[in-house]
Amino acid sequence: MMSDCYWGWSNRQDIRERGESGGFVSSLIESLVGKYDRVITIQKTGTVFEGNVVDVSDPSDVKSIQGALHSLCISMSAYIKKGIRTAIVLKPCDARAVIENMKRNHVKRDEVLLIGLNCGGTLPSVDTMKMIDIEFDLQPDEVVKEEISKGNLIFFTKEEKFSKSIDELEEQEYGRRESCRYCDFKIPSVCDMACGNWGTPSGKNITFIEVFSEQGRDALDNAVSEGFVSIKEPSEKLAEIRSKIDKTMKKLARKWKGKVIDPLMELSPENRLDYIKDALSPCIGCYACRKACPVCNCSSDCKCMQMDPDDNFPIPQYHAVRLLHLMESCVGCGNCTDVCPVDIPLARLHQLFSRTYEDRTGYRSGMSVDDIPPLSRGDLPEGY
Amino acid sequence: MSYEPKIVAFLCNWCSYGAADMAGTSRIQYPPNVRVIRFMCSGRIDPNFVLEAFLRGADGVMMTGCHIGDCHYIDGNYKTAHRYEFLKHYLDIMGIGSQRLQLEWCSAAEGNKFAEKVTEFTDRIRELGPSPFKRGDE
Repeated sequence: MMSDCYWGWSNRQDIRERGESGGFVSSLIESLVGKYDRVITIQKTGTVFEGNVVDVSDPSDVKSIQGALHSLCISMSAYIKKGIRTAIVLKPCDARAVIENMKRNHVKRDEVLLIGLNCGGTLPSVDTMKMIDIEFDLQPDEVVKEEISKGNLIFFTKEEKFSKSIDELEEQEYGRRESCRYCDFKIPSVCDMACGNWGTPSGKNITFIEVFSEQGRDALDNAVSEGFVSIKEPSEKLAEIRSKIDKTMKKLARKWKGKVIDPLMELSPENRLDYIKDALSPCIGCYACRKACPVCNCSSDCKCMQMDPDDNFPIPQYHAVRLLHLMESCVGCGNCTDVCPVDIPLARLHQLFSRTYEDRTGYRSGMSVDDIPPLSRGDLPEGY
Repeated sequence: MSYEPKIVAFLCNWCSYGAADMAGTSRIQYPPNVRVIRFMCSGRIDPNFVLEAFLRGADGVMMTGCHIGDCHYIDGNYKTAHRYEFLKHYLDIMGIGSQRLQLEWCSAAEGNKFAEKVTEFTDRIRELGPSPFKRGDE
């Protein structure tokens, strides 16, 4: 696979100044309108805690495109449908979910253009509003911009800038979503290209772009030749800083995994089963986790939906089956935890299974379309 | 009364069911703890069946099929093997223990082997005790 790095920015002055990191993605989106059936991204809503998913059909919509929002956790993979050529902006876990769907023939690789955004983690919006009130002494609607930089969470009001260390906030159960803390996939290398502000000179309105595929290269070349964006070689020093940030984030993720997931594996089997039982016991059977899951895609044949979570088994069969199926496909997006009305730490349970399986066998979901999921394998198994 | 394990065995129609038949007609003794469920092919054993057996109170589950290369449907048992490996990890992480699941290949002529493996497995489960997954009322 080829891999090339660039600095890029929008050629339109208004977008370059308004958009985050030079408005590169906005202008790239503009260049793709008309070339794809759907061009999907996030639209501004006036607050940093919300955004609308929008199909950019008119180039003038580009002005309202929202840059990366940390407290917006929409699962973008749901907007990709087979047979519709789609260009989409997404975060790394969404991209992995799309790859999982490709493996199961729900999406075709050459029908989609994945524009990935580097992601150091997202924030839960309601808890973040509470945190802004308690920890920052601000009103949530005063906040006009947020940023994560050098391990600090920064909120901007119209006049001032407030900054706090994420580590300290996370000690107090604020900060990033739990699944983001131990996610170690920060630069979406499964996408056609990955964009972000890591490894760019500060204050220069520039985006760092890494191209991973032929398709991504075509899209970038097109946008450049049609005059939407400009690119240039990044400085070696800053490119190195980018990979250093990536490494630091991954190290932190491993630390969090060691704090949250590994202790569960260190429990005795009986205690671990009890932990899982207890964690799942409040389930009210709303099936929200099944519906929010980006990799769960049995569609109308779904057996889980016919299982009653109130079936008196030690672990509801619904969850037992989901834990089994997601052991090979969980991408750690954390949507299940977000939507659960009784606050079951579902993402933690699913990650306990899939990350442990990954540690033992090396199989990792959502990394390549060519990996065959363990439960779908039909070749002669090793050692038999 | 001493503890008697409940064991569910999934047998494929062409080989291992033949083996069980063979064991029966040859009057080979094996523990009566095993409950046999016949499948057309071991490749038909959905991991969910194994799960449900445990959820419904089985102390151990045996999956049996034709030897690799002898599958009536050519490669059905390749899939069984992959699922077995996957399920072992799952049962381990869940806290049930991978020792409670066993995969054996038995051809229709191997009545002896079938009886032997069932005996071995039953002894192992008897030693392990009741499944931690068992319903409280049983």
